[in-house]
Amino acid sequence: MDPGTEPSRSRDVLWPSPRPQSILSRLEFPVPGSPFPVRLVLGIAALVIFVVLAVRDRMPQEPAVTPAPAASDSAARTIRDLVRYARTPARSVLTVQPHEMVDVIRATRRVRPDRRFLLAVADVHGLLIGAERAAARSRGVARQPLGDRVRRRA
Amino acid sequence: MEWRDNRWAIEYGDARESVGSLPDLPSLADARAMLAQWAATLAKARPLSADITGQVPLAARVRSAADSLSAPSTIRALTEIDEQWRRSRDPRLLTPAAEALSALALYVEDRADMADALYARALASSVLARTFTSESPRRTDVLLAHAMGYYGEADDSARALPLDDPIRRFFEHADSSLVSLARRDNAEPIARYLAITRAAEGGTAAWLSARSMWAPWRGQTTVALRSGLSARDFDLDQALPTALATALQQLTKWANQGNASGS
Repeated sequence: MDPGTEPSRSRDVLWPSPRPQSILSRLEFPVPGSPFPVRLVLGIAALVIFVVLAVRDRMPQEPAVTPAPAASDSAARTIRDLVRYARTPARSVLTVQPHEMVDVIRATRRVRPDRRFLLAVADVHGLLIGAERAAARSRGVARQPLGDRVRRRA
Repeated sequence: MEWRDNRWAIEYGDARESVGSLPDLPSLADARAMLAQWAATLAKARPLSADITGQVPLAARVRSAADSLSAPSTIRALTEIDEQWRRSRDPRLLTPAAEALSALALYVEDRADMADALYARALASSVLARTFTSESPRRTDVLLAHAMGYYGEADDSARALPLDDPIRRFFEHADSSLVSLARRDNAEPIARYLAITRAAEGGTAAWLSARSMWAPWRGQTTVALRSGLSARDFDLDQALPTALATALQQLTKWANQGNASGS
């Protein structure tokens, strides 16, 4: 008997076959008890996975949250708030024209006057007129300083 | 308040009554000018009392309380001024009120920005006194500018005071003449306070020595300690917390005695 064509069981165990075999080749035959060939099942599964991935790539997705975009978003929001605080029209940093950028930045960085000056304005009024303070007290906002009132309105 | 035409436009109240405007970085003088204009406008709507004949009410007492560097006496004097102002609206009350409030502002060690209302009231009173009386509270203005942190303006204003004024000596760093003024038997309390404040800049030993020179200051101990707090690092200085605890003990005792005698 030609040992190359019909290896004996002992040779098959001791000496591997010279022909390389895929691991799938062992699944070439129907699994005992299964009515479908395994290769067909794996092929269908691969096709399904491919379709799912293709569809998912075409769907709109949430942007990945990484530190850099999050910081950028926070900075944009801060600048937007500061611009609003400076009582200038709120604009995105992406739409502000270059020649307006200097003014916008200057407005956000402008130092507001000493708060005590504003409180003194209210004190001068209270000492000389006194009516509004009494009215405010009756409305329950007597302790609210002028600076806070101005800030809230802004 | 809003930024308009390169200036801060200040408005007041729900009706947004125009107060005036301030430059981009306003100085204390800018604020004074705006407040004086605002006060003159308001006084047209409700004039102050024109009946200013007779003795100036409370002025001497308030002045002595403010000069004594005693915070409790100053507060009591201010309470009386407030009552009289409500009744009479006598403009002559404005000057002693400004002096008393500025003295209180000088005593404050405000590292948490909690005394803004006191500074503002002192500033308002000072401006009203300048606007509606012939008296010019120059010393008060200098001390108030210093207490509010406008040191350059305080230095400039101090140059207008007489040469032998301890406040001017203090701002000109003429320490030897300041100490000689403070050592006089009839020295002004403010001269001693400023001398102690200057001594504190030289270290704890110098401060304690200067402070003990004029001790005991009944009821004024905390004011003297404030000078130490303003110049020393509290957490690095072991002598100051001890002195503070002792002074607070004395002050509490004094306050309890005052309450007992008052009741």
